[in-house]
Amino acid sequence: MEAAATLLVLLTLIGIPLWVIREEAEASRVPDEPGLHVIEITAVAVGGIFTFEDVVGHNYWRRTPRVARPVVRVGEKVLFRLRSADVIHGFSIPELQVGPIAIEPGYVTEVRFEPTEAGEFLIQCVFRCGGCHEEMFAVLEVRGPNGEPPPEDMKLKLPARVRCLLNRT
Amino acid sequence: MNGPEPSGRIDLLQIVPGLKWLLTRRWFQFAVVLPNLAFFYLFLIAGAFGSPVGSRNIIIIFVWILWWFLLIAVMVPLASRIWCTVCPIPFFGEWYQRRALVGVRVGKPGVGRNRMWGQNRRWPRALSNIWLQNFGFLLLCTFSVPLLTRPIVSTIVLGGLVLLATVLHVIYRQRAFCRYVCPIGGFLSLYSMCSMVEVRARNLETCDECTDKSCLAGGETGWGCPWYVNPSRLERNNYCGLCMECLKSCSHDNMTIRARAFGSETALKGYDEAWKAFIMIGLALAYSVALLGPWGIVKDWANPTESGKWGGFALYAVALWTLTLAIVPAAFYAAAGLGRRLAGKAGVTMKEAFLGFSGVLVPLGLAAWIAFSIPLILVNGSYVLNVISDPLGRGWDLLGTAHTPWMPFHPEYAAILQIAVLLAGLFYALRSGWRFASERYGDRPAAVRAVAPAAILSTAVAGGFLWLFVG
Repeated sequence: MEAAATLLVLLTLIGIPLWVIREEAEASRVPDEPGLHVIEITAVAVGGIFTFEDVVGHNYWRRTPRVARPVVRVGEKVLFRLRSADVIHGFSIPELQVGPIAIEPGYVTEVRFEPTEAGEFLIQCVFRCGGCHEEMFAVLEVRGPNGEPPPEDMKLKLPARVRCLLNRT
Repeated sequence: MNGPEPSGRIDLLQIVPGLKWLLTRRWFQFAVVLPNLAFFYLFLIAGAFGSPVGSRNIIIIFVWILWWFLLIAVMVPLASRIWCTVCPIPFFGEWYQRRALVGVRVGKPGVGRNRMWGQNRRWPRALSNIWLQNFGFLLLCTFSVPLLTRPIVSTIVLGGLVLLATVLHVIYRQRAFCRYVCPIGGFLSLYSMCSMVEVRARNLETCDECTDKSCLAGGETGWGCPWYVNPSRLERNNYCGLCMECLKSCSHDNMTIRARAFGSETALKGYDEAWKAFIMIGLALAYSVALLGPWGIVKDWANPTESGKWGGFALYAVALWTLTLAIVPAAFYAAAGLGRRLAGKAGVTMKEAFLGFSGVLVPLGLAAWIAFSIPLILVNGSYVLNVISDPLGRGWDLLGTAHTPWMPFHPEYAAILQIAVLLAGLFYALRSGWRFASERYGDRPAAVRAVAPAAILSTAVAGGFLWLFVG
């Protein structure tokens, strides 16, 4: 009886994290399409940031994640898998007519598109999400079909951050 | 062997088929703690690695909405400290002490006849009261908004309690943490007095004649009471954690569980217990103002990590501590003193009157907390469907309910339920005050004069809550 009880406790302590990891992997599974470029992005209101980083309970309040800079190629099938770490955000790449679409916490929102021209394009939040909303930008870099960088005249310079500096480490 | 049941008591072990068999199995407590431990562990993981959004994280919804409501509105009134039976917080510490999850060990070194590991030190006499629990709970409640809304804060606090419990189990004998430190245990001890069940000896004469005292010292069939109480002499529920060890260890089969009327005991035994009652009613009042009231500024002050209003938070914290530690006690002290003077009889000391009339806050405080919790569960209860299907708020959908829209459950009935609960609480409070006055002052006119100030104060407190909830 004692050995069985000990075994049950150990199974619980080991099994639950393993189950969480398995379910997380299952939820993150992407369509098995050849050539599909999947980009996972999380929107964060604190700091006004789109990031590649996994923003969860233990790091949300601790530091500012790095701003994402997705890079894709012309003609590539792109799938954005979008999460919100906090409130309802919007996602839009106006010049490529991607979005606007809402990103709600607790959901994985998917957006597909296929870029047709090289360049750097503005990604922006389009729903008022907090004090840093006005500075919630990122850049999508679309390279040529063979990976050549976008032409100089298509490069984009983001406006400087004033309210929400990226100074938390 | 069994004497007649005390009036108004029903021996549940005799009338519920299979209950005695179940509760006297050695594996019983392990069987109820393990699933709870699994959920608790998942909650801690969810708080650290799940969504930072409270409404999307199982630790916030299950612990602070569902568990809290079930605890205060169902478990405590109906089943005393049944939560302590299933609580996973002391699990690892007790496992370390006993080196057993199911069985019992006898021999030395140990406590009583039970062999136990750890340093087995005695808990300091100066701390053998619930003051630590009072201040610990008040401190946690001062930071309640971040605690109740941020999953990582809940993980740190609840995980910290597990760690603290384990360390204290290593150093001190038996359940020192649960009895003297656990901030949840403090208010459970207070409100379990109202509860409708009790663990008691069937026949006190049998206990008087008992020579082995195995309920206290342990034996081969059960551990000695881990809560530092003598089960054979239990008169109040406060410090009985319903671990059921005395049912197993009693060599005369003389321990039982009885059903009884709600509010059967309200007598406070010390200032520490009285201040627990003051703290709890003060907190219920403060929360009702800050969380349910229409004053946004107070809500901002209570939530400084989001609002950034630290000056306001300092004011809120000072007001909270002053209200609970000074204003409410002073009001009841004045009421007790006035009643004592009006009664005009010698023989009842000021301390007796103060503690006696403070006991009215046991049923009234419990009712206030239940009333406060009713709209929380009615309005936010549907989030349970979301997080049970997606515990970490990461986009899972285990049961197909992850995206169920938020739907308050008949919030229009909240006010009616709150009024009913508060009025019931006031009834039991007045009855408690009257019982004390009748017992201590003897003749009816003196008792009426003695109880009048405390009764008026209790009615005013209940009226204040009614105004806050439905006014």
